[in-house]
Amino acid sequence: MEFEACTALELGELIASGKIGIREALETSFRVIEEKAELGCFVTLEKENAFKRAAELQAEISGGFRRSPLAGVPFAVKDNLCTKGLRTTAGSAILEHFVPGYSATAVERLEQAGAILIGKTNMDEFAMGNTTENSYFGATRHPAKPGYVPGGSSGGSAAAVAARECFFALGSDTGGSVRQPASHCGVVGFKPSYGMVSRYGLLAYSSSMDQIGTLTRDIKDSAAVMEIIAGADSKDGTCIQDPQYAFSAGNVMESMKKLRVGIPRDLLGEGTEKEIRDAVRAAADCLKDGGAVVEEMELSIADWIVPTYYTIACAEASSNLERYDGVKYGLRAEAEKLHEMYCRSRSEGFGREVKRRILLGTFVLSEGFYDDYYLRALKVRRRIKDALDQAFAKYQILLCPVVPTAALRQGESFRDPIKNYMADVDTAFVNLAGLPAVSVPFATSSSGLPIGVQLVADRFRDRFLLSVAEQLEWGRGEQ
Amino acid sequence: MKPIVDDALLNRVSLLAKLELSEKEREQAREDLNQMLTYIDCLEKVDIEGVEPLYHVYQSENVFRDDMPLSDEERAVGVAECRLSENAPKMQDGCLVVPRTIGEKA
Repeated sequence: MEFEACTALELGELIASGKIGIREALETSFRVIEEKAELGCFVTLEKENAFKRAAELQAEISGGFRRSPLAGVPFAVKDNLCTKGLRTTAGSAILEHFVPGYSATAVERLEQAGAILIGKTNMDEFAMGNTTENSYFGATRHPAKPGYVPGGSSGGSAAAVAARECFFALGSDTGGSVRQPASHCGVVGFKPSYGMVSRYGLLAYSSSMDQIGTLTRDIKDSAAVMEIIAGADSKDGTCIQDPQYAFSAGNVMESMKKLRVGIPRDLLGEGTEKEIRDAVRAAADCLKDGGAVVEEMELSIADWIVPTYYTIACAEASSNLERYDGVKYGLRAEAEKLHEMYCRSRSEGFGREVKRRILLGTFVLSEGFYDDYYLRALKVRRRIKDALDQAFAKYQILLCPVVPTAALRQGESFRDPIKNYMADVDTAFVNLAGLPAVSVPFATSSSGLPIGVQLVADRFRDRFLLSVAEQLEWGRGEQ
Repeated sequence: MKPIVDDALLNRVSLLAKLELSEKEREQAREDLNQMLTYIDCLEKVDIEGVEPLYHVYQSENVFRDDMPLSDEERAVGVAECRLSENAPKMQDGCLVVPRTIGEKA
């Protein structure tokens, strides 16, 4: 039976009903991974434990016990999420041989729910990048179009789901790193509200913006994964404890006819390719056909987004990455003196983009520059959040591009780093304000590349957001 | 407002960042930093009069737990989770070995 193209929930049903064995599902995933090895989606595969787990779970299922709708379903995890006993590299030489003694909460919850971890996916080093070309372990390729990038930094996860190497994957999103590769690869990429999913076990990049997200074939799968991974965790002080804000407690959309959608005109300017703008307008039409009220509006913050994001993200990253010092774990370069050891280990272990961001972050936090750069950026961040609060007082959903262009060719992003950073304009504002957002595959470019559109909602309205996205998915199918 | 990142400034920043840059990397780093700072400078024009900095999107208070000692089992789990001896670059007699930290300028 052909089931590689099934969604995670569909496969879960086939497994529960006994039509497919878990072992067979795993063998299929590993076979596809091998057949498509040139895509370079995975850094480390986990076969032995996966098959062991499969046998245990199959006994449960055959005995009539099903842990969750995703029991027996093979999944992958971005390599910046700790996995007990399984190498975790963050795409970096500095952690090439690092094996954590614990799993991230999100991973543990999925495993307890019976989903089967099959490997760690490739990523831009320490989540810094948007093409998955900045990995020490080589670049990941676009799953459908040779010579193109899958996007990043969760490019391995997005490509693996698109290429049918696994049935869903976890990624992380700090400035767009789940949504953008999802758009480029033609899968659903969801970033929950900040605080929805525990960050315990996620190797930190920018602690006030990082959030674990889902890469799936459709919205239903995303919601199913969220039901399992979201929720209070005492191990993460930034994870919301209040049950009124829990994912499952959220309301779904009552009726399209009551929906008010705003399209920020300032994100559809000249820098955005026509095909992207057309996709957003087509999605708007879809929502209008369903009865929603859709109108263009101004956020008036577009020019502030990227400089504010990079100042804060790099500042936080420079602090978070200080722990990679060669002392307790990771790469150590020998030296006679301690400070030299720190410098050599870090200089040998970190790639160029990571060094660039650490230097910028260190600069903006240093004496004499802190007020003018870092503090100023934090104040602009409040102004950005205020503008979004105002928008959500009037609209329930914002509809906008995920990224100004379709996927780039390999190597293209390195020509102009600032221009590359500016491509984060459509996604980074979401992280600055801690909002939930989702990339829904919607169109294909004239050159055959997938184009997604982005829906954004107010904080803690994750379930509502996904219900609107599901309607958009359905409406797209009708077109 | 934009400072030109010169050698002295780059030295200071690299020291703080604990990064050792090659001559070629220094040149590139100077260029990169100057480029990025020029770009970030557009924030200078934003009106931030009376605006409070936003450090955290929804929480302004710290999260506390009771200060309770761990049980022996919990402590054992914590130690196992560290995987210290498996991941440490250099150990001796159960201790991490590092270059000398006391007695001379490290």
